[in-house]
Order: sequence, then C-alpha cells, then structure tokens
Amino acid sequence: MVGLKEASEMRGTVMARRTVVRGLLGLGVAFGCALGGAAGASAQELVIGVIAPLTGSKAEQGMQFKEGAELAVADLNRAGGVLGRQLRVELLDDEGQPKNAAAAAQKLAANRNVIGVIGPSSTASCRAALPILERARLVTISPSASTASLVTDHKYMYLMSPAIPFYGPLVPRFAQVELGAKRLAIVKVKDDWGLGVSKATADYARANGMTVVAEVEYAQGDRDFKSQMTAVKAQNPDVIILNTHYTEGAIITKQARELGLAVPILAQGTNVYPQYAEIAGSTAEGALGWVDFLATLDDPGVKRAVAKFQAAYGKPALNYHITSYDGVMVIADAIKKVGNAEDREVIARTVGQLKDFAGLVGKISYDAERLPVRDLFWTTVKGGKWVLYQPTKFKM
Amino acid sequence: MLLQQAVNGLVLGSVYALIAVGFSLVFSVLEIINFSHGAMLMLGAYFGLVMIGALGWGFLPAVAASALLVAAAGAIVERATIAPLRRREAPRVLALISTIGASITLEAAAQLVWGAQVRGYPSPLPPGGFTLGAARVTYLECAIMGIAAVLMIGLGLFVRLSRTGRAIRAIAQNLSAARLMGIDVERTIVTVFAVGSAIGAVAGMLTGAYFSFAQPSMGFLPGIKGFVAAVLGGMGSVVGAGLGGLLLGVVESLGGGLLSFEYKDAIVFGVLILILIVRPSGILGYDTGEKV
Repeated sequence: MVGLKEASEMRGTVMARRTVVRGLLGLGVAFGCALGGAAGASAQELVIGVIAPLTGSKAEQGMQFKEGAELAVADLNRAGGVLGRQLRVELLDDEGQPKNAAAAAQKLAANRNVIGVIGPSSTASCRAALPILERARLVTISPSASTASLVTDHKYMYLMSPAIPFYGPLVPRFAQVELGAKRLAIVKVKDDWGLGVSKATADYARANGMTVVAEVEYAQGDRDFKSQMTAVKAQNPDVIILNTHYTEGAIITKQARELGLAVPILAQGTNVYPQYAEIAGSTAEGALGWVDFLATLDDPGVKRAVAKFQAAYGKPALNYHITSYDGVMVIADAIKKVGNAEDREVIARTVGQLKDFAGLVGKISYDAERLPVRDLFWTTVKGGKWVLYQPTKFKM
Repeated sequence: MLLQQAVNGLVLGSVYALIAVGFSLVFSVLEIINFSHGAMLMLGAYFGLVMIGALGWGFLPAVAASALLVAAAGAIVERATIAPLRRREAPRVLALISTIGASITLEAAAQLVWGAQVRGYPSPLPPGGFTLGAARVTYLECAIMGIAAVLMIGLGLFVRLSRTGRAIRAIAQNLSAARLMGIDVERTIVTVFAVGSAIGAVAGMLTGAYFSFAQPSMGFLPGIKGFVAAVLGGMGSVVGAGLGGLLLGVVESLGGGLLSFEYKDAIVFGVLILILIVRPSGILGYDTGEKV
C-alpha cells in the first residue's frame, strides 16, 4: 500500500510538471505561430521516423521499410497531407542492431515534429528502442516484428505482421475444418518462435478434439530430417504441420515424401516463399500454407500493390514494402481521426481502435489485445509455384 | 522404423565417409587438420550447380569436371596457405589456422559470386524409390551409397598400390626420411590435397543433391561431421574414415530416432568421447608415438 501511495504521489508531481511543460509548450507554439509566416511551411511539416537496417546483413529488409514508408508519405502529400500539413520521412539506420536502434530512438524522441515511428525490424531492436520511444509517447509500428509480448509490454507499440496468438490456432483449425484431420504431426524449429507457435498449434488442437501424435524438433541449420520424419511416419498422422523456415521446411517436405509419407503438408507463412517450391521441387506440389503477401498471387489487391511499387521503384513489392506502407497510413489515419498531431497518447490509443482499415492488400484491424488482425491468403504449391487456394469448408 | 533409421544412417554415413577421407589423407601426410575442407565441399557443389544449371551438363560429367576444378582449388590452397609456412618451419598450429582463414575466404568469395541465399539443387535421378522390408530407399540414396563405395574402394587401392600411394604412406610414417629416400615430398603433398579436395567436391555435389540445396555456408556442418568421422575411424586411415563415417551416420540416425532428436548431436559426440577414451587413436588408428 505504501508503494502505491508513493507511486500516486510521484505521479502527482509528474502531472504537475507536465502541466507546466505543456504550458511552456503552448507558449512556444504560440510564439512559433507568430513567427510562422516567416519560418515557412517546413516548421509545420510532420515527421514519420523510420528505424530500419539499411546496411548490414538485413539491408534488403531495411530497404523495404524505407521504400514503403516513402511511397506512403508521397501518396499522402499528393492528397494534401495530413490535417493540411505535409509529411516527411526521417530515415535512421540501425544496422539491425539493438544499440543503434536505441540511439535512433533517442534522436527521434528529441524531435518535436515526429508524430510516429515505423520500425525497428527485430524483436530485440524493438525492445531496445521502445522504452525511449514510449517516454516520448510516440506511437511505433514495426513492419516486421511479430512477437506479441512487445505489444503487451509497451502500450505505444503495434505490429503489422501477424502474431502467434492470431495465426497459431489458424493452422490446426484449417487442418480440422478443411482437411478433416484428427491426428496432427508437428515439426518445429527449436527457437523461441518455433516453440511458441508449436505450443499455440498444440493447445488449439487439444482443446478442439484433435491429437498431436508426433511433435519433432530440429536445430536451425540442420539438413537431415529423415530420422524425425521416420518417427513421424510411424505415428501415422493425418497431416504434417510445418512450424519451420522455408529452407528446412522444403528439405523436410522432400525427405518426408521420399520416405513415402503422403499425407497433406500444412505450412506456416514462414514457408510460403518461392524458394520453398524451388528447393522441394516436385515434392512441394500440393503443400498448403497461409501468407499475408506474396507478389505472384493472382489477387486484385496484390496486383494493385505490385503495380504500384513497380511504377515507383521498378521492382515488385515484397512483404515489408506493404507493412511499412500500411504502417504510415495507419498512423496518418489515427491523426486525422484525432484531429491534431500533438495529442500523442490519444493518437497511440486511436491506432489501437483501428477496425477494417483498407490496407494496400487487405483489411487491417487491431483486436482487444491490440494485435493485428489481417486478411490472409491460403495458398498451395501448383506447378512449382505458390498459388491461391480456395478453401471449400474453412472460413477465416 | 528401426530398419528405416538404419538405412537413413547408412546414406548419411557414406557422405560423411567421403568427407572424412579428405581430412584423413591430409592429416596422414602433414599432421594438420585441414579446416578448408568444408569449403571444398561447397565449391564442388556450386561448380556442379553452374555446370548443370547454366551449361546444361548431365550430372556425371558435372561431377567429374567439378572434381577436377576443386582438385585444382585444393592444390592452390595448399600452395598459397600451407606450403609457405612449412618452408619456414612454422609451428603446425599456424598451418591449421591458415586453413581456417582459407575456408572463410572461400566462403566469402562464394557469397560474393553466387549470393548468400539458398539455391535449389537439381536431382540427378527421378524422385522414385523402392521398399525394402519396412524401409523406403530412393534411387538417389542408392546412387549416393554406390558412388561413395566406389570412390572409397578406389582411393583405398590408390593409396595401397600406386607409386603416389606408396609415397603418401612413406611420408605418413616419416616425412624427413621419405625426403631422404628421394621421394618428391612437395609434389606428393599437393597431390594429397588435390585428391582429397576432388573427393570433397563429389561429396559436396552429393550433399547438394541429397538435401537439394546449395548455400555458401553449406560446407560447415558436414565438414565438422566429416572431421568427427575421421577422428572416430582413426586419423590417417582410409578404411577408418569409411568405418567412422558409417558409424557416425548410423549412431546419429538411430540415436535421434530411438532416444531423442533434441540430443541427437549430444549422443553423437558422447559416443565419440567414449570411443576415444577406450581407443585414443580411433577405431583403426595406430599410435606411432611422437616423431622425433
């Protein structure tokens, strides 16, 4: 109780201080406005901070953040900006390293014109940058991180990529409804993600009358899975669920087929890449999986997005082009709804109330846990390529 | 299931054996561990990929050409990174570190030329197979075991019967004495690197075809496994490398399947430690004592 009392006293002091600061800020703004005519439009510019790995081993991913955000800002500016103010991207390179992400966050936090942040890329970088961005009350949307606890730990943080609580149960539900499976085999990579998603898979399966007859794991970088797949085959499953990355997923698919395991293979989105089909060759045929974006899909939204990026950059869009673009649009949308760009706490909360927002490819909402709910595609490998799959019984 | 795991293990084991023999040959003449051997595997796989993919060659001609190219690469690595140290009579550990450097350089070069991403690998045979009792064996697996067996036997005969083979064995017994007997030691050492690398290249292409991918870092893990197999069988012995490879593959496969996949590698290395406690020089290795 003492602790609580202390805390509330402290909060009181902070509040008092904030009021003073706000007052001063207000004065400053008034002063700024008086000079505004002379200072020109640039003082009014709203800044979207982008923290991305522009150099280093994840440079390709960082480039997508940059291009996606810049294209969104260009589109917004062409349509008259946000609340009549133009936007600008401030690009900061974190080289994919947490300590640089923290330094970038410091820089953005110090800039009063920043209204929101796109990035950082990895969960570790987010964890380093978030306390700083949170103190500056900056809404932050990572185009690529997908760890749900980032959102539970930080109230200014949002994700764009689907998180495990959302898609974890999806795959076993699909197995049950669409494929009529009762006996599941799970293959998982032994890392945080693999264990997390496999727990979600198994929990949903058990709660819904299915049995997990085999659950085998491997270490990232393993290339021989025949002993695992032999054990899986002995359990006679109805479906194999791949909680894997695409290289291993493809090799597992191939080796399972070579061992004569002919049951359907159902893969997480981490496998739905062209390389999966390339490596697994003919054994990939018929594999099923979900994905939030794949440039080759025959879908009007995807085609529109691909054409848009093709026109802007002369190359097809990749996943994080889309999530980065949508991230900027979601922040802009919240600011428009709030009606001013200064009330950062309200802006962050408003992002969390997003419902059925028309993203570049599909609809985006945030659920009660503030996690993204996105339109996903079901796909299957046909003729060596992932193509759209139309579920007959399964509904999202 | 037991039979299937054993078959899986034999296939893996024959690839390990091919890799192990490269380590073993070099060790027998120079008493160093050639850590660039894994990179030779990778080079072999990529050269093969280029010949099959870009040039449209068949698998067997590609294997032969790739083996020749990698033999040259192996000889160059020896001349460039190990021979200068030997001439200056530098401690052996420096030569070992030099091979690590060569390995990293080759891997980086491959990444520069072919990119870091994983590439699919063509299979020389149609995907089918046949059933053997409770086990399924693919044609490719048969081919891998066949090629490995032919190469191992060929190499064993080469070391036992040919002039160069005799020179290799003489150097293995005593390098200085061999030189005094008029054996061209330098040429023999280069030959050993070339032959070991060529066999590594074949192992690389088989690994690529078996797992159906190529990647600049693909030689690293098989390299380690091959090295372990060589130690297990007894460094310096061709037959030992063969036995070590097969044993390692089967232990890994059965241990993983019967006990636990999580501890697959722990089981493998546990067995290695046990065998080395009982027989410090490996299954077929013989203790020649310190050379003075």
